[in-house]
Amino acid sequence: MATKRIENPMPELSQLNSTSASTNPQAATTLQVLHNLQHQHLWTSLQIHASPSNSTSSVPQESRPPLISGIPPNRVYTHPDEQLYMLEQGLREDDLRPERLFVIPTAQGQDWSLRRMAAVFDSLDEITVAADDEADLEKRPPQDEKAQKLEEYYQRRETANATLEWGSKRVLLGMSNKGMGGDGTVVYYIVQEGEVKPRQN
Amino acid sequence: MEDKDEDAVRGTSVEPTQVETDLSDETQDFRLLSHLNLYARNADQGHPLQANANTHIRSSLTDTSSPGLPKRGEKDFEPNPTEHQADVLSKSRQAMHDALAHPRLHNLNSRVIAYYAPDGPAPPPGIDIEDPARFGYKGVGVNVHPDSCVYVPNPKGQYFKTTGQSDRWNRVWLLPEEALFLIERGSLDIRWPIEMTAAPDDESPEELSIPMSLQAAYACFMGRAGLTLERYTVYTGLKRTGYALARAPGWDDSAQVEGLKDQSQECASQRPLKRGAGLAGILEQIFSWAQDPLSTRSTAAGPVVGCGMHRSYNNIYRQLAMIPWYDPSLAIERDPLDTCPPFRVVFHAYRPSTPIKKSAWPAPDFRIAVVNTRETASIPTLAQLGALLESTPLDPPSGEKMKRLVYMRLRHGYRNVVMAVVDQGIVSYLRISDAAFGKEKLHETQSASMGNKRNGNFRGKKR
Amino acid sequence: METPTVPIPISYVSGRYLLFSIDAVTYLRREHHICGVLIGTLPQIPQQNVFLGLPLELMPEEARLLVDKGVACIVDETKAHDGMKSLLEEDRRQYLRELDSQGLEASRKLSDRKGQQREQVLKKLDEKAKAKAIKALENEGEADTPASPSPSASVLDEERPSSKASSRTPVHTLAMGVTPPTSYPPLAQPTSSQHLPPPNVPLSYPLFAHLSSRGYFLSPGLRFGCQYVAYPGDPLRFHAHFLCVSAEWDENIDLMAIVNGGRLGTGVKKGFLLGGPEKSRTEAETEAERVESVRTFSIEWAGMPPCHAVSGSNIWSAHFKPGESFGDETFMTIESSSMQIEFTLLSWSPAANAGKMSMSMKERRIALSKWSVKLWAYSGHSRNSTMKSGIGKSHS
Repeated sequence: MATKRIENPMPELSQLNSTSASTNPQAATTLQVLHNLQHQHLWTSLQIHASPSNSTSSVPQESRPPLISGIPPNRVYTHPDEQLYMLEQGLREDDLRPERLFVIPTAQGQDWSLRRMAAVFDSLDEITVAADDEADLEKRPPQDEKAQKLEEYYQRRETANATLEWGSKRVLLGMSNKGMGGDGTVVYYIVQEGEVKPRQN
Repeated sequence: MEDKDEDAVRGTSVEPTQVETDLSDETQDFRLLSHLNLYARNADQGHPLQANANTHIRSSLTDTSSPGLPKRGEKDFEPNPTEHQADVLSKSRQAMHDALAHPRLHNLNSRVIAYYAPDGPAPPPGIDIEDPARFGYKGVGVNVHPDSCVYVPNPKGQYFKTTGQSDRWNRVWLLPEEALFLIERGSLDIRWPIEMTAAPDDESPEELSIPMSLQAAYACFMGRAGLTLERYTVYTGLKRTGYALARAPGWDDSAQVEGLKDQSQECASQRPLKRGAGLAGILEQIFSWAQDPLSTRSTAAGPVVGCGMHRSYNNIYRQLAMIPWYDPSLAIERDPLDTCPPFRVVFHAYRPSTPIKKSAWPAPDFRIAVVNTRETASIPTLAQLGALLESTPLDPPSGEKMKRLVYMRLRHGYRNVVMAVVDQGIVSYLRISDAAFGKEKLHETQSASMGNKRNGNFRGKKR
Repeated sequence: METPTVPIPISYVSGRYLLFSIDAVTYLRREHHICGVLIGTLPQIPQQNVFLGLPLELMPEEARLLVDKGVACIVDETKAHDGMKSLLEEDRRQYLRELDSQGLEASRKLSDRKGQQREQVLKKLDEKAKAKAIKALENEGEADTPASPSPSASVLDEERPSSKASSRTPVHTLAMGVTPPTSYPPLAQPTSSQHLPPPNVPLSYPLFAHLSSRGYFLSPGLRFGCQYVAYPGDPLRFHAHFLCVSAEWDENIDLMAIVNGGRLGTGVKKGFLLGGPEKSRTEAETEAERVESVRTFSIEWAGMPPCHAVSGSNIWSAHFKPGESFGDETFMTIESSSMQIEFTLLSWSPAANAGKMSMSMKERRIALSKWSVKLWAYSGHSRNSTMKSGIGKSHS
């Protein structure tokens, strides 16, 4: 499993850029989305994961995009039932430890299909995230009561993850605008497998 | 800018556009209707009654409160296991059941009886017509449509003002959609043809003719002479809200323009379209050039707006306008049959206020094409749409308001047509117009109002 | 509400699937979550489009699902009605008698109702007389009695000229004419050998059947610009959760369609659901097999607001947009944050310094009428490049 760790994304990227970006449009797209996450949305601990090669998936290697993962400054998605639970417990999104989220970099006009989408979801389990500073990022333990509530929350989430109550595996689909030469816009959509009820806000 | 957008969607989510949705947009709660329902059973006391053909009529009556259309119902986000929700749901379903079970009754004094004529218009039995050709189809009457299949011997009541055509014996003949709509709304008691169902030994066959059920009417009239369920859905949807409708010449999908019949099956819209400014445009160009001897118009020799005397901005703008544009007012008019079904006008619709003379229908207020999403999955091509628009007469913007507001002019266009898109019973009406952006010289109307941006917003509200 | 006998006959009329029996409609909705679309006119309020009545139009998918479940069968209704020609004399008379008694029942009901209403009006008048004396107490009683029955009666009179007449005539003797909703009786239900084969369904059937098996109520999607709208409960009482679009496993999906769907869904507080069967029609022997292989994906707009922290690199990515690429050089356009477009051509040659992205941007000064933007750029890592903007507040 090839996982590129990005300490300082830029030199790493420039390498990527020089070797492949000029010939491989996918690499350029990945770069652009990563760039957008890093600079516009201030994500941290960004990594690029080449698509798993040994996968049983029937999608040819070259048409499987790499994935990006990183830690957003604010929570991107909260399932409505989870939100309700947090509300009941008096927890705010800021109280939770930041979570790593996967992003599929795509570009407008790219060929896409259910098969590819499924392949991405199937590969999520195979991807190993390089041990990162998520632990460091964990906030100082707050006052005891809250810590306890948080502990309860994490336990609850574990069961919810098993039963898919709070949604399922999720990734962010990042699509960069390439129409008319492109204006650099990247839009993001939350994709989850199965029928996950919409947020109401 | 992007930020604002995102805030708008994330923020206080429910925008007015959503609240203002049409009532007919979604499934409505039938409980709101029960006060109008003659035969509604009080849901609280209701337990299923023994069913037979009489069930609905034996149901007890609830009383009525204020009439009028109900407001939009409140709905929940998702089911929860509360008694309350289950209760409300079962009441809603009961109300729906009651509303749909409402019988179609005809009072003896006012009922209108009609007869189904499976073989189309024909003179009354026993009458021989010497020269049938002189009196329209089978000599029944010049105005009677050959596709008619139901006749009303004693037409009375308001419904026949815009519906049906009288024959020479004062019977009104109805087209299948007209008959079906009248039976469906409970205004017509249609009988099976006496000769079809009555036994020969009957002493008074009139008395014993069998009423057609709604189901029978659908089975017999639907699919007759080009009447599809989609066309019928559009027809009734508009009739219910008061429009008068008549079939347009393009009703028959297979109909083609006389001269074009030999040109194989090729669709009108597949032939190249002649577009552009036309002869008039060329002449105008020559004249304007002749009037402007100092013209700097030679782009080959220099800039578009070259040196010379520039006395007004308008002149410069005019010279800058070098992109050719399409002028819909100069487009050639097409025969309505020179179009490609389903992108072809099948109904002419009239506002309730339009005075109608059935023997000579006036020019329609709306021209409607009907498209079934299951058969035509994609939106029309420009050629198909162009042909459809060109088959309608020129209808340039007119009136004081249009004169003032450029957006209204653009929106109204020079030709227009309504496309009714039907997806499994759900109809969406789209008005398509041939807008003339090139005709609106903004530099000439600089001082004029662009129209009230809030109300006459040309673009939809950005979301 | 009566449970109809199974299989329920679905009328096949001119290529469409219709239901005319109210009991069938109610039963299928309650037990099988099949809603269809009401397309008929309600005789009691025929002048509106908000509430519609029978018949109910079923999508071919709905009809197919019911047939596959063994709950319904398809009847060629046009053919079945040929049976009217061969109706037995006895059945015909029996049927007419039945209709007659229904008509009689109806006129009796109406006259009862008239009587009730008259009583109520009288009672109310009586109450009003009292009301003057004890007004305070009366408020409550007023609320209990249905508000003014008379206007509603007049509405009904309008729709139904009969009621006016019935008040004059001795109703018990006159049966009203009845248009029954269905033709069974007098027709006999067709035997199973006369049933039509299951309906042909579009490629999206597996998604439909899959969602239906999960308990969703589905309706045609035109209202929301999709294929199906999925409701978590009866649409009478619940808002839809998903706008659904089906695709074959290898069907090319324009990413823009996902964006459109996601955006459309967010606008109406619904999710966008994309799904389809893993097996194509050539790979699977039955539709049921395809239904088994369905996978779905729920899509919602992430709505990540851009971070507002001001840093050089942030502005960099927010305001530079890559233009067309010509060989090694990329031309860039700078766009200011206020939508006014300023043009600068910058050359960017990635391959210039092997291994390093280099940027050779000359300092440029762009002076426009009300704006001045200073650009500073350094060779080397772009994260070190700063862009100082002397951008004033937009005047608009």
